[in-house]
Amino acid sequence: MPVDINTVKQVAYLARLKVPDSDLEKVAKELESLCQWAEHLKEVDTEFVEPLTSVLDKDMPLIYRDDKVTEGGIRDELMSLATENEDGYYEVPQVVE
Amino acid sequence: MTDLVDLTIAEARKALDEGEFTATELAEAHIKEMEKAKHLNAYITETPDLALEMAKKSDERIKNKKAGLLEGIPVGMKDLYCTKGVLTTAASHILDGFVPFYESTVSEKIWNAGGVLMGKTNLDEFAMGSGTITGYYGCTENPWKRTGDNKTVLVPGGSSGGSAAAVSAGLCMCATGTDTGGSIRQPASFCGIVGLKPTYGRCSRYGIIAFASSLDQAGPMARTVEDTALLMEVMAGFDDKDSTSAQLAVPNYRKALGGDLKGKVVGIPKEYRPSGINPDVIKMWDEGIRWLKDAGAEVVEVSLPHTEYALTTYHVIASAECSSNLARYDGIRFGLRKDGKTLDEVYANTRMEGFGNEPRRRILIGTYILGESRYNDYFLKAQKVRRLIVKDFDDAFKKVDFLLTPAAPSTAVSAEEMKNQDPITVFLNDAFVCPASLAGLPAMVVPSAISSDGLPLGLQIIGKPFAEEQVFQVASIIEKAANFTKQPHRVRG
Repeated sequence: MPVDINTVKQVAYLARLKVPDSDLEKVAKELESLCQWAEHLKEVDTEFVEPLTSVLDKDMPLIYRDDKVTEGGIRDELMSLATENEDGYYEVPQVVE
Repeated sequence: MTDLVDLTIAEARKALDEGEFTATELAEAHIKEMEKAKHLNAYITETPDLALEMAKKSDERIKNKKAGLLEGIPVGMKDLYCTKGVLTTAASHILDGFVPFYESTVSEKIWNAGGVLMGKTNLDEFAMGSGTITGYYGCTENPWKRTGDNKTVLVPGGSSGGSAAAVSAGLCMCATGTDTGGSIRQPASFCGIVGLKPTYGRCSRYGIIAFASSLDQAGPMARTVEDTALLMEVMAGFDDKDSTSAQLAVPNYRKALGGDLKGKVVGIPKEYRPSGINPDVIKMWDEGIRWLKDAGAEVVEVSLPHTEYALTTYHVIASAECSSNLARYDGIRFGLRKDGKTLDEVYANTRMEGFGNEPRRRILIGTYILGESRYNDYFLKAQKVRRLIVKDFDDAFKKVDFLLTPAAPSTAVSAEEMKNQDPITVFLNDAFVCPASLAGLPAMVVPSAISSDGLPLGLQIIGKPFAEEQVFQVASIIEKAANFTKQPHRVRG
């Protein structure tokens, strides 16, 4: 299945990766070859097979922990990761337009 | 006296308790070795000051008879584990300046047991690769060289290649790895050390930077089976911060070592003999089968009919999961940030500059596969085939107790040779290791032979879910029979 340039642009947009125009062709070829390679999965009869999302889904329930505060009072530590901060605020670019 | 960096953990622990040398001296010996071996680039961040501080505390605890299982032992931590107050990079530019304020559960367990952090070991960017060649901080060198060829630099395998090289070269006594599709086992084979990928859920993934969450698992790497067992006892266990970790008691794995295999059945998967496999690998495998027979095991051939689909299945699932997991790196809350005129541009510019070629490629593939018109044909299909791969193993384990296979179809190659391989060949390198990842099974690699060109080769033991004890026992029998003593070339001064 050929992959056209517009599809690559759409995928790059969805992945929020700024793929330069000069690379679009190369990425298209890569997606094409992956799909060609993945074609052979179609040989496998999976008509009555449920998809497997976790190897644990057979017999092990996921464990919930109690909903309680286990740590806190670490404002300064949390702030230490901020690219910018001002007056105790975690400063980020405007994310709601 | 033997050089301190050549000791096993078991030997060093005994000597530390008996006061033959101190944890500080042991750390100093390793720091010296690290300085001599800088060219290996096994560590992204070395932490000698912290190591000496931790060793000093270990010496106090040893004096007060309060030594933990790993008290005073120099440990390399794969730079995919978050370490409080120590730069954590995942070998990616996008995590520039990321100094976590929390500790991964597994590393915390290691520090609580007295382990001494020597540094954060190199890896492929976000653990994506099999050579430790894709990271932002450069390639790691394998300490091993081909016989008569001291020039060609070989890769240590990957993605836990920094850990494997550091353990092999005596830059730490053991290290942590992570394994998504072979990332502990293939480098263990390339560097002549022992590595275990535990059952999915055996170790907590909390605080380990995620690549493909349904496959990622933490595991130990060391120079002997006993040392690996010791580290595993510390790393394993339930964690209420990881809902996929198993609520099972952690056995004393060292007690499982030795003995014989009377009454046990070992399966030899007939699909693991593809063309193009190095004849030395086949020879080692045949020898391994003989060793297990000598130990009393019955050997039978088994079939894992969907093996040929494992690599594709792995690639589809891992790419899809990584595209989701890596969506969190947006330049907003931490790490690298690049400006843009709009918010979308900030994201796209940050991610384009922050991610290297390999993560970018896999994110694009994953995003493409998860698109509406491809989802059923590729992603869902791969998840269905994955169930059949799991069933193959389930069926085999009705007849056998464990499986024996080679770890890799070849010995270590150079980065140049690896780069010139077509992508399919590169992935073939993971052909023997990735099926056990898809099935979440415990699988361990033990160095078992030296190839005709002087490089290490490992055998792989695959066990039933949570049967790490059985895997350790078989590994100890192979280790003894193989009598693998050759050491890599080291810089001595």
